[in-house]
Amino acid sequence: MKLTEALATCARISTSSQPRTRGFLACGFTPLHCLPFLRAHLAQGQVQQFTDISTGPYGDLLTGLRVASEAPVTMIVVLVEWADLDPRLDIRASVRWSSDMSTDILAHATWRLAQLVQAINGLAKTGLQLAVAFPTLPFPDVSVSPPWRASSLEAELDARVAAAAASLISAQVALVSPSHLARISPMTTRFDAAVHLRTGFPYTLSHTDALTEALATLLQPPTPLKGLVVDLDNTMWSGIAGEIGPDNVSWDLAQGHHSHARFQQFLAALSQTGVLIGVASKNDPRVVSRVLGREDLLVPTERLFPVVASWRQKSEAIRDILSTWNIGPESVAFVDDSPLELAEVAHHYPQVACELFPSGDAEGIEQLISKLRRMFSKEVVTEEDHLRLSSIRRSTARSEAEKGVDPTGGFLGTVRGQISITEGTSNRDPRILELVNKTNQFNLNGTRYSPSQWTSRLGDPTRFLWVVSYEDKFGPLGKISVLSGQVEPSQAVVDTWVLSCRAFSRRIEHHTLRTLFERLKVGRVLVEALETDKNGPALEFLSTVAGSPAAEGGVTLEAEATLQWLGEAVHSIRWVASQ
Amino acid sequence: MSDVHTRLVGCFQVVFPGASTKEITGASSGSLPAWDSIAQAILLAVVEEEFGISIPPERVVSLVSFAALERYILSPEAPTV
Repeated sequence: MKLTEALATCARISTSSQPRTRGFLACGFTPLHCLPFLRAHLAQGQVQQFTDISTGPYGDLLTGLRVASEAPVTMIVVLVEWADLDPRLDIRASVRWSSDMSTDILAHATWRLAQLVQAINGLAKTGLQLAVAFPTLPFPDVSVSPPWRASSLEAELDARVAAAAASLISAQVALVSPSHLARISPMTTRFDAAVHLRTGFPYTLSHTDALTEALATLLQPPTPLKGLVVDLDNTMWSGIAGEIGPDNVSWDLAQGHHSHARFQQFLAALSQTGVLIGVASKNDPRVVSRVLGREDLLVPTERLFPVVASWRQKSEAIRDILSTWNIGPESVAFVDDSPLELAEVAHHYPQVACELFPSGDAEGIEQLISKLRRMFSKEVVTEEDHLRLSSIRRSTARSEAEKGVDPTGGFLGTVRGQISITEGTSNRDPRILELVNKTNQFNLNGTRYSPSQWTSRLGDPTRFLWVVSYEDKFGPLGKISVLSGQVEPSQAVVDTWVLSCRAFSRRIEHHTLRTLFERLKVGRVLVEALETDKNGPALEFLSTVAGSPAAEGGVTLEAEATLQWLGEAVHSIRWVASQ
Repeated sequence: MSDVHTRLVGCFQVVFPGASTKEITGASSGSLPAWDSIAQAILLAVVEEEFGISIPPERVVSLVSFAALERYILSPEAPTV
């Protein structure tokens, strides 16, 4: 992003009707171009909003951190540079050089770094959103030692900064990754000496752009995709199994096919974080079964589900996989070595992220893995992520079991379903906001929230928050629904209600609605539903309950008629107090 | 109207969003209340980015009006990056 674009974005977003958020940028230098770039990158996140950003005093980061801790803000960005550890590490400083200065700088910088870490830890404990970058500029030339030889001062300070970063990371503070930053902003293009001397702002525009983008992403991480569909021949492994035989396809270094091993390792790692991995292969299922049965496969076969091996179009395989996973194409990526297959899938499913597997191109495969990592990586892996694949497998088994049982609903009475509802707005489980922001189909209105907006909403004492979990004899689904709203004298107003698509067809929404009337003891519930491109299932349910389509402003449900329509509960309800 | 003139007006518009074209073309640091030292630093960065030039520190203090900036960009002394 260019500075002009950042400023134009700021001007545009400043007139947005979205409520503004308030942030704080703590740095020891003139913040200058960091402000528009940070605002612009934050506005490009899920929640398009203008951020009012306050700053601390010039040349005194510690005071800036103290001011930040007392400021009425929801997010704080901290930029630590070498000059914040010791002013003599700034080219703007005019100091007399002496031979023992290195020792003094090291001692002072160590002391100052400890103070900064303590202050940042203090900010982290407040629960505010926090993003931190440790020195991003080249180590300043403060001595006359040979530039090609690492100095003791530089090595010692690097070690102390690394230790400080590690301690903050272990305290759950979000730090910008130096290696990520190095990829998007080479070290030699970061420092602008002329502008720094003129204004006190040390970064080039390109580095400001890269750094603030990384910080904004830490504060507003993108929503990860849910499922990855992969081809087999010349993608998962090298060679065509049907031609050379299941035992002769390879993924080993000796035969020059190690990139396929890297890809398998990556798939295995992704699946451990709850990403669904499916297979779409034009192949003989018996051949595929034999390769997937090989003991040297690096991705566990049980992590691949479903495996669709047939001679049908790839788009038809994708359709079956999406149906099994019960997720939309916008949540899925597809990797194949054939541009034709990718084009065929893209034609039928333009929302699927189609990526070419560059077979034989080791560098290209590393880039692909890096790109997929960005698409799928999560800040936090929840218990539900671990449960996802097994619950989908159980759903498939359950669907099969259901076929032989009374279709009028008697089947649900046999599954021993238990719905657990955790009540309380102090619940800070990251799964809650993930559900709210990732659920598309059963979502009242599609409203997305930044972590700070969500926390701010829950601060309202009139608000209630329910987190719903479910399990039955087929196993647990984990936390699958979130419901939130406010209780007014004559009614309850529900403005947030999401239900994971994994939990459809279990009448969980029916039980939740019944419980809402019974628990809150209200005669009427106003459900603030708003049509989006994807929330058909939610609106269909509500309009069926209400007996009429959702009107502008939502759906009003009267207690007597609704409870009569909902019928008897078949699952048990358990209440859990929020910790 | 020259291409430089139009592009320079564009630079001013992103730094001073509320100013009209007439105000911009006659602007100096004294005529626009928002034109303070911070705005000056941002404006020069935008101009450098837009025109691919690097403004030497010794020229910064004199580039405090639209006309002065336009003259500087059109002059042979404006070094390209």
